[in-house]
Amino acid sequence: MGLYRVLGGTQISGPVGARFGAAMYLPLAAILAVSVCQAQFGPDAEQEQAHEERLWEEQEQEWLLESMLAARRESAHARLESAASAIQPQAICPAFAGLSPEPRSLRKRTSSPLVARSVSRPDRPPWRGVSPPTESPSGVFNDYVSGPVVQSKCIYCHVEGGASGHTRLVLTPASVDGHQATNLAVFQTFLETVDGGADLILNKIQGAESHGGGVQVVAGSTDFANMERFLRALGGDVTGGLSPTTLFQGVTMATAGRTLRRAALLFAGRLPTQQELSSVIDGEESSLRRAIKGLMTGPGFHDFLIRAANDRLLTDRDRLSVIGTAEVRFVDLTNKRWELVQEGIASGYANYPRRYPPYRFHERAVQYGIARAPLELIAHVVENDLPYTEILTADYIMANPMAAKAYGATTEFDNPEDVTEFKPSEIARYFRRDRSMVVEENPPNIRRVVNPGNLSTDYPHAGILNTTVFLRRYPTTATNRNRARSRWTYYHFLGFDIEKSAARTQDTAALADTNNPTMNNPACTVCHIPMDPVAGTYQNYGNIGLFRDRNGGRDSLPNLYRAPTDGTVSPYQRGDTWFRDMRTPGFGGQQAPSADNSLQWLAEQMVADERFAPAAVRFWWQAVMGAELAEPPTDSNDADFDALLVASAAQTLEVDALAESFRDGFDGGKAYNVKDLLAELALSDWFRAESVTTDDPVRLVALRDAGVARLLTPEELVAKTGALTGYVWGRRLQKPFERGETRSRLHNPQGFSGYQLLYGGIDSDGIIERTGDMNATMAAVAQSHAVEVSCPIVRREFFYWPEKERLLFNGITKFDTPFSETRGEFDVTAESWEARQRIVLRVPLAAGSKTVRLAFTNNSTGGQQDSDGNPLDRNLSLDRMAVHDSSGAIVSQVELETLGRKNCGRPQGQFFWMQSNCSLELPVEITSPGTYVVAVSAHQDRAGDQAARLAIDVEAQDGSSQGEVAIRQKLADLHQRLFGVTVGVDSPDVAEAYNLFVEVWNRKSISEGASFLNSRFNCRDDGDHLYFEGLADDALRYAEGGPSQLNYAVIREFKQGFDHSDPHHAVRTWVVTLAYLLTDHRYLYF
Amino acid sequence: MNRRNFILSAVGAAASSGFRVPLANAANYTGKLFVFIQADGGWDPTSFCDPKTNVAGEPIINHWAQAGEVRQAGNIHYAPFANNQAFFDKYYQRILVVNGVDAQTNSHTAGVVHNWSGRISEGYPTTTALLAAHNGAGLSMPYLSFGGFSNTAGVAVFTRLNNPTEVRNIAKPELFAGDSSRTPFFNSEDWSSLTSHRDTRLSRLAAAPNLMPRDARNRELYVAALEPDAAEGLRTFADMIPQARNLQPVEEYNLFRSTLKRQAQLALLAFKAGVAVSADLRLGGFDTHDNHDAEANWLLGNLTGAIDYLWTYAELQGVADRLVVVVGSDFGRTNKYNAEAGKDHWPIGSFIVMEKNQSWTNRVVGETDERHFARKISPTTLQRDDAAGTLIHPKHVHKALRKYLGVSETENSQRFPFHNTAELPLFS
Repeated sequence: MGLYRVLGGTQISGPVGARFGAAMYLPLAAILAVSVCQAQFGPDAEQEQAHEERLWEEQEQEWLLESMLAARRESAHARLESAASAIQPQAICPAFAGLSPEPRSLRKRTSSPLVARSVSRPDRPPWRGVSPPTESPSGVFNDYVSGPVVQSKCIYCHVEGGASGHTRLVLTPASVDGHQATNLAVFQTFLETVDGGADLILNKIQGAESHGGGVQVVAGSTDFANMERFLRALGGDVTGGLSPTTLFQGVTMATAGRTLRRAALLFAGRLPTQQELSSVIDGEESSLRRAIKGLMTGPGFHDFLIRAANDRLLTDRDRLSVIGTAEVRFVDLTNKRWELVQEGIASGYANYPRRYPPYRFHERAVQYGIARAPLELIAHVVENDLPYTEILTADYIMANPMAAKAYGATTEFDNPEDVTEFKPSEIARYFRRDRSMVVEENPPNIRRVVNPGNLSTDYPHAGILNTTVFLRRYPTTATNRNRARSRWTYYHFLGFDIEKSAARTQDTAALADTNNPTMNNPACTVCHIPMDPVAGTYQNYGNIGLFRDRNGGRDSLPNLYRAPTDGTVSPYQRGDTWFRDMRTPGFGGQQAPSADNSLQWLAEQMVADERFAPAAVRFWWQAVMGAELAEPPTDSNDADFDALLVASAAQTLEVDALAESFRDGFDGGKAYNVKDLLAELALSDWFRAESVTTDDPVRLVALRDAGVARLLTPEELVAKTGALTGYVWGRRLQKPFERGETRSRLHNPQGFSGYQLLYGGIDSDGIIERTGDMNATMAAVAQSHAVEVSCPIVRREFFYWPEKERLLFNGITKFDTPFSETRGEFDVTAESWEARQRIVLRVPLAAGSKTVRLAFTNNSTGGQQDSDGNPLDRNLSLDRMAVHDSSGAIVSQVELETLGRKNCGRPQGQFFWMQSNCSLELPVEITSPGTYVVAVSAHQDRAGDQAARLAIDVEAQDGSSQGEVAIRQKLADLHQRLFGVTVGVDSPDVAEAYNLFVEVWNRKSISEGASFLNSRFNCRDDGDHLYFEGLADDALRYAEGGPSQLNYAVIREFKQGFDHSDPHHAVRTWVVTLAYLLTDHRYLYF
Repeated sequence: MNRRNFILSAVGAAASSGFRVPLANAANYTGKLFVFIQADGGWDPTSFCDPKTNVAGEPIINHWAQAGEVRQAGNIHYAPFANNQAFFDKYYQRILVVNGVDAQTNSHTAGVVHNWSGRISEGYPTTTALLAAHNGAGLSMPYLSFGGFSNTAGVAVFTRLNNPTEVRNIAKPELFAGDSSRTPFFNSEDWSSLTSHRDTRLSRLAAAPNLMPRDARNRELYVAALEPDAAEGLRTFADMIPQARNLQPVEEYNLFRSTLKRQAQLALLAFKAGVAVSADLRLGGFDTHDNHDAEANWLLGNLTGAIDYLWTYAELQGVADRLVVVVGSDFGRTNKYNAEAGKDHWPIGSFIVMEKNQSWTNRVVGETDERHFARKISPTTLQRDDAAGTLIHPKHVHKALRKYLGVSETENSQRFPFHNTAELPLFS
């Protein structure tokens, strides 16, 4: 709920209406602008000459301006410049280098600067409290701290004139003689004057306590240990305690089998096969890794990738409508729409041609194909083991057949009608719009491109970055100027949140600054220096993501920038594609070489940046762990500060180690392979932790999001039930997606109806964070799920599916009850007393009171006729029942005609005559255990082609029955299958479930009839529109608008062909029992 | 040991994992009820409760000021814009305006966090969560969230009601579509058997030793969510949810879409049912970077219209005398228009607090100058004090709210304190 608008976004500092009367306020216009001008001016030689001269003038002016700005900057930061003179060019304070102060790595990766360790189980350096107590401070500082920490990290900001030049820790750069001694003294003074100074330094360098520079030294690293050694040697009081190294002490990890099960549910939406489970029985990590990677295939894995990627990118918000019907630049799409409208008009939809079903189906398909481009690109890259860098550098766009046609591409598909098949494609026929494009409207508001004009576009694909839906999800405005896109680009792909990088100034003078503050005012530039150049690389994309959609297709600059209406003079010059009053498009201090492909250039720069790999780990962490990475706490007074600091440090170590291997390839594998990364995440302690023996509150808080038992998301719950039972709660199909995209009670890809949001899901709009904390509403959804699905599941298993196809109830029958010992069904073919046949059932029995039940099960009344027209009236006649022990001696014997009249039969001469389905119950006392034989003499009154059927059940009511054993065993099996836990038949789990079974069974045995159809459930087998798939395929059809419907006549006919008898009430008892199991938290969490 | 006792006994262990099961049971809660309305995107106080007219020689701050004058209702000045007049004239006696609140950011993310938790960095709960934890423990849905910022920091669990009509379907899980006249999924006997055995099992499992903290927390939450009182409360509330046609309609303007009145309706019904005590409502779209006047006009009109509806419906439901309403936003908007007739981000914002029959209402606290820069005030007199005063930050407002609303001394509040923060007597 809530209110949204399509346009919006982020702007770090707003004013853009600043006046630009003086030349010195012009921006550092770019070489970029020069190249654009060169590229876009006409062939006329004089024009070119004049233009070139102008460009040279501009260039000179810009050099002048640049030097002026540099001088001003130098003046403002003279001491910094002086101090930094001996520092590498790129190693200046990030606030002035085009990067934020936050990232630990300021450069593109050139080597492996991080602490090298094996990703699997590193030998982590010690953390706090383990350093030698007495060392020379200067020795430790000079040898281990000054170079790798102070001069490599701290000095960028903690220097006079630097971003942290105002703090209590101002250091001297290496270019100054005696810097080591000077800096040692600075630390000494700091410790002497600041309470808890050593702890404060150690906290700050981990990014805690609002450290402006974010994480600089990770706890657990060698640098951190050396820093601690130094501070201790200097006399600092370093608090010992829990560390990343010791965090998981006392924690027991899940077994390989348990881990594989969780990974299978997560990555594949199913349970592991027996073969997969067997493959990890050796408990070796390598076996488990291999098995987990083996899960990463098929539609379940695809769904995981799509869902996980959308949880981050949130592009599904716009999946129903990316390109409006008035848009004409995708000319083939426009004309396809026009064709379908004409068809609709000719087919009786003249008043509402867009309601013409083929038009609607096409619209759904093409919007889906366009909207899913970024998510499908990620899935494509991962599933095909392509380097993850390709999500940004791909020179193609993923499209389904309809989107590909809309793009004018000639992509070949396996099935051109399959809306869900995505292939690498291209935007081949995008025409920018100028006067050469001819568009007609007929009828009104229905457009056709008669002539696309001259501005065919070689679309510069840059992976996700310039997919239309990504640009639309992160739109811009005339004043935002792509800054929101920049922010989110940093956030998603470099793991850097500009909005958290610096507090907004409170300085009123700074706030009042109208001198283009984003360029000039240090209070603003701290964020805008990194942000605005990246914003500039999006220069070609307009407010809703269309390529050069303004100014006759020449650029995407807002009209009011080019031609202000307030009397100001715009710095705009013909041919510009970017604002001259902003920083030039670029990244990391470099300028984008060309306006035409600046986003492609950005993509190349970003994937080469050291932050790309850890950002990728962060991107996938939450999908696997079910919780966001812990951030360093900001205030040492915070509750749980120590615990959160340890958690943050430990996770940062994990992320960095994983990132290092991800970048180079895990164990010699391919670089940037996401499957490998996902497998390693699933192998990590953070995923596998299963139990802990500790009462240390710090450890418990630090581990609060670790390990097992996170709530299944709505999508995961519905997928789990589908995989385990074949039943999808509330499944409906919709043309044109049909089976490719179905909706359910817990997931609706076409919207967000149902229980998706109630159960903690997201809508990718106003609700973008999943909740895993169960509340009463969510619990009610879970209970509803259990009671609604259990009946149809059980009914299909027992009545419609052959036993070998059952998913849950194989190995048990509807005759297995708490009392049943054994059962047999026999055809009675003898047709007279004289020819009566002896029927024998062999049964192992324990000592105790037993009941033998003799039942006639296939009575047929005289109202029907056989194929020859003879009336059908089948009866069963029983003469004698005897029980023999293994020696043949008779233990019990009854002449059945002596029983007298019963409600379903009566004595008739020397036998008991049964005229309808019914049973006789005969008590038998067994005094010693052994194998016994139940023998019955019987004959039938034949009717039709079927012989009369006699069922013999032997029951024990003293807790010793085979039925109880079978039920208990099935309950244990179900615990394994549904929860993944191994329990014994005498365990509390099984005992509780069995008690419920008996309670319900007793009640139903007394109160309900012999047919399942007599049961008092509202058994909604129409709750899943594919319920009858493979049984009665004609049961499904589609309404005109595309939604699936059930053909109830077909279903009725189908059901009539099945025996729904449940004479012992076991099937309906399983309905309740299954629902009970589905409400167990071990089903809902994993 | 029954389940409630079990939960209580588990508190100690749970507390050490950073999660706290509420201790009190508010089944018969008769205290105040809290609605916090998040005007998402950054509203424009200068066109609302901190009206600013144009200054000669300075860029135009408000077009309405070219022809209109600042108006006054009681002691409260307001802009002649949108439906402000009707709103302030009707409600000034219930209103405290806090102007000049410096969010110290113009980032949406940080602004939202700061204004609704009182701290600019993440990790603190909303005041709404603290109120729910203290007053609504044991209720079905003590804390309602309709989107926006709703961090609980583990002190409470929030409930979303974004598909209200669906709640009827699940509130009585054993019934088909919640309709007792239809054949139920499970009859009452089967359902009773199931729930009885389920509860026994879940309580046993929740008491298992050596669980990972998340496992322990989730087991406890699940047991608590199935408590008979909680389930019964949900059923009571479900019965009160109107049919879809009787829900407040969605209101639309161009690309804007507001469900704020519906949110208010559902929150009040939940209050009336006794199942909730606090709610975060959300209206987005205030990020008016272009076409500010038209959009802000509709948005502020929609906002005040919804607040009016909130009070009117609260009277109808008999809970108006218990209602406390807090309205705020990420921050404010610039003191001039940009080239697209929009206004960009500005860190200075306002809060409005409303309650009936209070001595602290019909009042404005905090000052801004004619260009909407915040001025310092004395933390004791609340009067302008450029020399020794303090700027008002969200933490001041939340600290005062916590104290006034009676949660400043709770264990949860103590875990999330506002250090070095003056206590402003906003409610004296």
